Amino acid sequence: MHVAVYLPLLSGALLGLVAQRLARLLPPATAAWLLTCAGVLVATATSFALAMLAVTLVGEAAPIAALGPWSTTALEAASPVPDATSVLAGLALLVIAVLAGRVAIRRAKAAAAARRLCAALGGGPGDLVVVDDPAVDAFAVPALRGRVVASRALLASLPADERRAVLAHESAHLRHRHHRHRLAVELAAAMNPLLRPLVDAVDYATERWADEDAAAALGSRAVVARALARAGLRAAAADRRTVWGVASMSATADPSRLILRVEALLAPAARRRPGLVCAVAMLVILTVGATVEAQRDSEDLFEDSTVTVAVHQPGPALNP
Amino acid sequence: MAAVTGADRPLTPAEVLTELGGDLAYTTVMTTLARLQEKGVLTRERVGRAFAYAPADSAAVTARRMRDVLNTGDDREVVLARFLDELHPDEVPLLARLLHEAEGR
Repeated sequence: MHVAVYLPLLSGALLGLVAQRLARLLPPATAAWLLTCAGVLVATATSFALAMLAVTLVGEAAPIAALGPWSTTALEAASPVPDATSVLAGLALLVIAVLAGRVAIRRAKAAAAARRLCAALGGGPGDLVVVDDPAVDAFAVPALRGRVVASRALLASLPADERRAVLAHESAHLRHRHHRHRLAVELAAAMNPLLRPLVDAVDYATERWADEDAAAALGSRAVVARALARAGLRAAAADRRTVWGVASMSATADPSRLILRVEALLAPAARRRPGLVCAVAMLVILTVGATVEAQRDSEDLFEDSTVTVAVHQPGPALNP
Repeated sequence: MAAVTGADRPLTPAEVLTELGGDLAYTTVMTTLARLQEKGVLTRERVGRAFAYAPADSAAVTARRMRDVLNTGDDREVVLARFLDELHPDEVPLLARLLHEAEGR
């Protein structure tokens, strides 16, 4: 229980460190699934471990021990967890609950806004809605079974095959329900802040996934690369202010995502790297396994403390 | 809003007040209509000393609402994914080079 209980923190930190690299190295669909699942499992293990750390102290509190069959003194003596740690763990759990709750509320509001937007846009499930807007952009709204929105300015600036690439990209987002990946990993990051880099990594992976999906649908990766680059240049010329997050990026920063996506489409397709996937999977399995094992230890701890009570109780009865 | 949409001609605040029939203050109705006009939901034209309000055409409202969604900052959640990502101005030449490369394929 000593080490195992802290393992989710360690693997969370490790995952956070390698998330971006995994998103760039692996085929995008693999990366998106791997990072989402790893994030959710490690985050769950984190909350679980915190709960175990906290519960030993709760068990030591007299009113609660009175409900259970274990002895507070025996539990306190046997518990390998210092009280301060338990208190911290309990507080951390509270903070996590609040953060996750806030993410959930924000997402629910966003979903409602998306539904309102869809209703305003009209059209049926999966329809393309063209809006008269000077901004050069397109997006998918994942509500009411999805709408793809594109501005007339964007469509007008692209040749027919590239227009199809844009629409295939957006429908891929809807078809593969990429918003669920993003929601899941955002909740995971709320539960374990060390997993925060996974949010951006999954974002990037789902973009790349949609790019590759569009490329497969059109039978050409170069067309999607052209569509991205041309639309990007057109948008840069049309309006720098609304489209580009310029202020947040310094000149020394990594190449921006649009550049990475175009470069990835022009490079050979990513290799599958089963070894790398296995290594990440092993890390997650180890973490979850250790947490389950620690939970068993924690149960034993309470049980052992219960046995002690049984031994001590007959004492006064024998010697009245 | 329903009162204005239901009418077959632009209504002045006084007419909207009669239409609503409640005990609202004239200034309340006037302010509300002015706000809706600022938001782009209503259009207005001058009739004598007052403005008459009519619903803006729905395409304009939609475009307006889309812009709102795009500009509020939390669009990442409402909107699944915008086709384009951020781009640093310095990278425009690089992107142009990449486009050229892609066109060569």
